[in-house]
Amino acid sequence: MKGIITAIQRMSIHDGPGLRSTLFMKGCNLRCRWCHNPETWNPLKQLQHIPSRCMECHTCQSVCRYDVFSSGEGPLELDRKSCILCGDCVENCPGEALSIVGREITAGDAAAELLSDKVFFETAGGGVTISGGEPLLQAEFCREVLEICKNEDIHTAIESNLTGSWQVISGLSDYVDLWMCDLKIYDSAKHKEWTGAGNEIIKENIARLAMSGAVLTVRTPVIPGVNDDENEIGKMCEFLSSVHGNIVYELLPFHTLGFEKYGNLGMRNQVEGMKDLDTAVLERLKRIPEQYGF
Amino acid sequence: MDKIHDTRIRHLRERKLAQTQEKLRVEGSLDEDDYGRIVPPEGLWHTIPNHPDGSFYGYDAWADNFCSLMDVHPVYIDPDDAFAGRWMYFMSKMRKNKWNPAYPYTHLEENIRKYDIICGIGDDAHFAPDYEMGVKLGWGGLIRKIEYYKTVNTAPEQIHFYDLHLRVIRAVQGWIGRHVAKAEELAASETDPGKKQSFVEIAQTNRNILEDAPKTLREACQWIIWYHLASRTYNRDGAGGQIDSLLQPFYENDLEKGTLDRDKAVYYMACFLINDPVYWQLGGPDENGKDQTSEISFVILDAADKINTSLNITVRVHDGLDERLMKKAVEYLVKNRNGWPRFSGDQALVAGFMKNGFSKELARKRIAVGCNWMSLPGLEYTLNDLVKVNMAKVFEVAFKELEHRNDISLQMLWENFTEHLGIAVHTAAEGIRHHLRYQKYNEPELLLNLLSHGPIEKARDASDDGAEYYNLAIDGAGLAIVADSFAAIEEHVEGSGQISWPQLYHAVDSDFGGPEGERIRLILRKTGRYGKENSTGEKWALRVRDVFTVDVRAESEPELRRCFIPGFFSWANTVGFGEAVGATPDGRHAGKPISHGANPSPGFVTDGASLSLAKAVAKIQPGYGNTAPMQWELDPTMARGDNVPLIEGIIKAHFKLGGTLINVNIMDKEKVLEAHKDPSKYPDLVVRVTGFTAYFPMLSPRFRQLVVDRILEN
Repeated sequence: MKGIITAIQRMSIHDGPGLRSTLFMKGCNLRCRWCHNPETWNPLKQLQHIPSRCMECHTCQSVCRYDVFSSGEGPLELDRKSCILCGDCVENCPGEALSIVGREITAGDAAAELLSDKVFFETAGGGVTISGGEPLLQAEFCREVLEICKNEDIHTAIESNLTGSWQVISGLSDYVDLWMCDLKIYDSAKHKEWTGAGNEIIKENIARLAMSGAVLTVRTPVIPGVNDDENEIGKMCEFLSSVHGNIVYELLPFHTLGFEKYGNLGMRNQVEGMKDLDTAVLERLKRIPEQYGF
Repeated sequence: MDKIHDTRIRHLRERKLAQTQEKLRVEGSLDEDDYGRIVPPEGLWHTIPNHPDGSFYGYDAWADNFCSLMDVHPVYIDPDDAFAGRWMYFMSKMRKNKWNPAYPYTHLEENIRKYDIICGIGDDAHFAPDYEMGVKLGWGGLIRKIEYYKTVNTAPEQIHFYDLHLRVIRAVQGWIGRHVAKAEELAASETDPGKKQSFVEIAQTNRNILEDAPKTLREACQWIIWYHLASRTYNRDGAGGQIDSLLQPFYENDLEKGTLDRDKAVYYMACFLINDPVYWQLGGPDENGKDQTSEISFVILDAADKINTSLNITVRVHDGLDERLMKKAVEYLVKNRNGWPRFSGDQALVAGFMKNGFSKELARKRIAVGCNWMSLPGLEYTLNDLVKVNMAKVFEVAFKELEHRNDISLQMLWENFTEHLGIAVHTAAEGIRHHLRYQKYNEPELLLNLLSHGPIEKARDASDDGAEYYNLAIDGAGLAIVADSFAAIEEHVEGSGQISWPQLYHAVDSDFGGPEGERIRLILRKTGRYGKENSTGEKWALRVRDVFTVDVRAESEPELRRCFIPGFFSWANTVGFGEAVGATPDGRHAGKPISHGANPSPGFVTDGASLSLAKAVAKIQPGYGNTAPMQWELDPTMARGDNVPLIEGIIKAHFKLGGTLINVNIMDKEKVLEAHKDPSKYPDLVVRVTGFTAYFPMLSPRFRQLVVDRILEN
């Protein structure tokens, strides 16, 4: 079957053990305000414009049949509502300032692309990770990809927000060697405020997965002014300690590397002005999971 | 480690740094190896010409010059160093002219210029001596061997041949003897007990090997150093050998006798390595496939870590390699970030060399002992890394020739290119033939003959049928420029039609001038370039590889024992080759450096570049036992201790896929930029420019710029 993805990132060293190829699914049901991959929210293709690459040759304007582009004295302006994503502008843009984010692909083709680096997985350890966006929104596609990988004896991992039903999760578990998920904020109401959804089902799925014997890595993105305090991290550690299972718990520092993408996609960055997490804060907070034995 | 040894190594490093600064101050920049050479005293020795052009040519002149230099060459003894001797004079570079004008090659000159060929005529060394024979025979044994063959080959010219080699050996012995005398004199007058002991030991070690073969690790190292220094002086020969298996018996014997411990061995090897960044191989299979790693392989790596200067150690990776050696090697690569060690891939090298009709046993003995090159120690004459065809220039010739044709097509351009490439390769081969015919009258190999199997036995120079095998190297350069140019034309001129042929020619002729030129250049850069898997560029690179390989192989002459072997390598010529070529349809500006060896042009993919690079370069190998190295600019953020298994994995994967040699650079961008601005800020910054490492401040500004660009673009 076909799925929609944003990219396949090779040589990833942060999405599971060893050297990995990561498949980023397009479409997410959460709206974490600090998200550094906003291109994965929308389950449809999007036109991206990177102004720093634009040489202002106006080729896009001349080839576009739908009057998406306009410019006066100032920079190029896009009327995204008129765009039907035909790709003419992308094809003709010399500076590669324009691109379409999102690619439809069959599970077989995605797996073939991922497995083209099999030799490196074998010699360097590692494997394939499906990330997002939210993979569970395209569970059947992911299952097909993972099944092909497992048949090739490749280590597999999924990075999910675990908001899916247990039925969906358990349907994949035979093909997943490592589950990775976020526990972003402990309090459900606050979770909803910052991500658009409560976290009851996430906690439930974490507990269920862990107690089913799955190998699980839980991560908390530490966001300045949101969850960067001892109390918040402590509560999460408390919860994870109460769950019996094979859990690794990590803290990830917030960074601003994805900020530029919002503008490029015509989206609003809700945390503009937020700064990278102070490394001293991260180091201080890291002691808490250590105290809990993580 | 013993505190005294640590202190001595620290002093040696400091002295080395000062010597490098001195070289830069007195002689200016150098876009080559460090070589370990130091500045000679002014006016001490001058060449003795035997030709009106001021140069010297032929057997007698080379012997006269070398022996006269040895007679006065300064003595070098350092109480912190376990070994005596440094070299100072680039004899071959001191000549006014490198080719004897009595043997002109005017019939080749037009094409050499036209295709910007580095023809190798008059070039020297670049094949490997058999150090094992050297340490078994010693100088006395070599003299006895020559004396014996004097009774076998008795024609007057043969006797003369032998006498010249005997003179050379005695000159080297004289040089060593003067070190013995000086060390004794220093020992006698020294009041510091530590230094006194050091001078006594240096004198004794050298006295022991004046005639006799070395018996201890220290003597073996000192013997190798003397041969090497003499050979470097003679004609810059820098080939190494399988250093661990060479020294293993001495090391183990000393340990057994209780005259050596590991600490002292590390100190000896540190002194040995700082003497000269020779290309030594560690690990790898012996002729029967057994891994040659032993304890001394680790001793050598630990010693390299101690001195951590410009080094050219290569680890030969094969299925049976001791995993601990591989791990240790990558750990030091990551820890020191000084471009050492390098890694060579046994599987493809052996399988490739066997395709020339050689046995597996022989193929395993062909080891990594030069910048990009492999050699059978003592058995072959190769002209390795000396003959290069600038394929970007060949492309330019073919492209320009069709400029005003109305019926021009991609197919026509390809056919024209292959025709010119064939002529260029044949010109290079003819140059080699010319060299082989007359090199003995120009620059005989009086030093390398001594440790080769054949020249002494046959009384013929290694360049003149004296060697056992003639495996002659021709390297192609600028592969990515050519492949990407064809790909850009296929995609944007004949494919999408975004650019017409006249527009393309106009843009290239004007070096992509003006906004329209820049627009066209950017469109051309949007091509699926070589390096990206299954791209148009890769398809063209493979086509170029196939044609080049066939052309080079076709030059072989089995009846003359001449086997021509293709490779892809540009050495430090990327800048010079680039200057000779105008703008190219891949979007490269006129005069900019050509692509490096077999590497894709920088920026060829946006994601997973290291993996794509490893795959592309493995796939592009000509496959006959010479290398097409992968020059890997490893992201410093990945080069961390905890990523050692991943880096190790990428190296192994490249070799599993068919790769032959990996040169790695791990450069901190900010540091390189600062050093480029003010080289004096980082006097000990080492970069692996290509097959060789160099001190960054020693490089010329244009070469430093090349290194900076490469790092920024990656």
